[in-house]
Amino acid sequence: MRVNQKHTIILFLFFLANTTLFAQDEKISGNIVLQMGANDSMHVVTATLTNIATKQPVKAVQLTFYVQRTFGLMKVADGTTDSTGITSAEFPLTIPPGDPSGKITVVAKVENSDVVNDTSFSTLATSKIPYQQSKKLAASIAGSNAPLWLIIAFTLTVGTVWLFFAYVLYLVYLIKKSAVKSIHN
Amino acid sequence: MEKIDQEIKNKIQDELLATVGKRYRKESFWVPFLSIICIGGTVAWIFQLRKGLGVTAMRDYVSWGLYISLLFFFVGISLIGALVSCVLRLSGAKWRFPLIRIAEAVTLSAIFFAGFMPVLDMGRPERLYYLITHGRIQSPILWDVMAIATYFVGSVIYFYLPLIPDLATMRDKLTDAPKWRRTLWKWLAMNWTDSLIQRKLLKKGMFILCIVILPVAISVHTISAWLIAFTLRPGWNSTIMGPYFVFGALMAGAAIMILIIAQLRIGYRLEKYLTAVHFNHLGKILLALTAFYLYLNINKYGVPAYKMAKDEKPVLEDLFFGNNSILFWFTQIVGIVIPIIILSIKKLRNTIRWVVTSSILVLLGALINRYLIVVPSMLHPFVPIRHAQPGFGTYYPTLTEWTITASSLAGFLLLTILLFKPFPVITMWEVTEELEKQGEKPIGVENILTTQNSAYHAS
Repeated sequence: MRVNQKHTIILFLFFLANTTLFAQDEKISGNIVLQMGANDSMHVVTATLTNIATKQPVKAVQLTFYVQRTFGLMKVADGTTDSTGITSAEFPLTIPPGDPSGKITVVAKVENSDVVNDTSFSTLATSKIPYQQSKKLAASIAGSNAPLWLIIAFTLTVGTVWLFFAYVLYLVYLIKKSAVKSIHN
Repeated sequence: MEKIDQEIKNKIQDELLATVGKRYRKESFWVPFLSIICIGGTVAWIFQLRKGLGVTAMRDYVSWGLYISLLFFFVGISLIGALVSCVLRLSGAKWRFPLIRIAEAVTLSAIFFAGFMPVLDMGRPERLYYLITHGRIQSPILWDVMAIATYFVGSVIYFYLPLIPDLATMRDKLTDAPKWRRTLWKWLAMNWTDSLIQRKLLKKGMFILCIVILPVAISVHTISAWLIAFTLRPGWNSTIMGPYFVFGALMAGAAIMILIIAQLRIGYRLEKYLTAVHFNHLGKILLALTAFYLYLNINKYGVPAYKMAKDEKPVLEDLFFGNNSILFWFTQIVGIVIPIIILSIKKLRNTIRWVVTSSILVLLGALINRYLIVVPSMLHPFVPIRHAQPGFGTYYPTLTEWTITASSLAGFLLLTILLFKPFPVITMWEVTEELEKQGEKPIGVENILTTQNSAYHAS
């Protein structure tokens, strides 16, 4: 019983200490300004991270850079801000554009930082390679680009069977008709 | 053979028409029992539709489980219609006549539920529509859907054709039936007057359908086999799959046929029409098919086991010594070897009870075998499963799956029972016609013409 009471007190003190510490350690809100450039083979992205409230640069914060793809963000680089709040990263020029206008959406994120709240900013860059319209998948019974032999074999086989079914039903019709004839005769 | 007296013809018709609308013995137990299971399955399916396939044990690796295993089972037993109606017809077996309608009814029920199983397996069944709008002719799934639909339509027509003269008899004889029934019979009987030209047309239609439906029936099961054989997976990557499925299907079909005629024989008191002769002949067929299936099994499992190729090894070890070994050896020994031994003994083969026992064992083995074809191969892909989330690397069907599976089997039996309610179990006109031509012995019936003779003596 005594041991339990001791534990409870220790836990309570630990809780108090923690809450006090966290209260002193509030994160700031950051702003990221992105600037795009390029050299011969790489896109160069420069990010400047500042404190929104004080407008001062924030140093030693890791930023992750992504390029928007169809089904999500593709990580391309990361970097840590220097004393001026700046970090830059490079990624290949060969990354194809994400839309018909030939633009690439570049995203910079602060994630799980002890100093700055999670922040995300994006900018557009012009891709150096043209946008390729993806071919629409031909998927339908009539137009699935199936080999000709397959279309012929499939249609002939299924068609022949169904023709026989139709003929048998025609015979049933003749059964009915023949009775009508014999009744009239 | 002398012509059968009209009085005897009438008696045959009366006996066989007596099954129409008659309560099957123990029906008051079976129909509610099977209906309750079906209702339970429907509730489980609604639950599955609302919550998604996550309520099943199917995950990324085992994406086909009990439902697809049952699809293969139903497609399999649906082949019995083709066996009895076509193969036996072409081989000239006269004893098939009392069995034709039963075989066709089993086929219809089985192929109906075979078509239903993939829908149960779909998380979003309304997307079936996309199979038509976005289906690719190169895909075996499209072929399978087309083959099942074609076989279903062919089976409906083949069920209907020999029914026409019987419908006319019902129209003329069962005058005290409700009006809507008589109207329906009249409409479906196609003004049948039993004229020579009508018989000729009917027999021509039946012969054409008999020839056409056989390749369709075989294609249905072959394409179902191709669904897995065209996939690069250990255990499936085999050229034997087509014949393995077809003969396994015929074997299961013959077994279920024996069980159903055994039930109908007692349930509708058809002992004179469904005799030990039919069980003996079907027992011989079952023996031949089971023995051949054993041979196919030796090839399917024995040949890869001899080589023990790297990719095949995990599946084979799973089947021979692993988690599925009890089921595997059960199917081989209890489902194949023991029935072969029983049916090889003439004395036992001539006993209905032993033929039925063998059929139960074969059918149980066939049902489990479908599961063993599907699941172990999915659990052992070419790229081994590593660091899978809990429940992803194993497959233990959930209660929802068991309930839906049980309800599908119950639904199949219920539909088969209900198909015999509005029609005679046995084709009256063909049995009568063959009795006139051949006598009792070739078609396997008993004490029908004897009654005729005694009737003569009495008169």
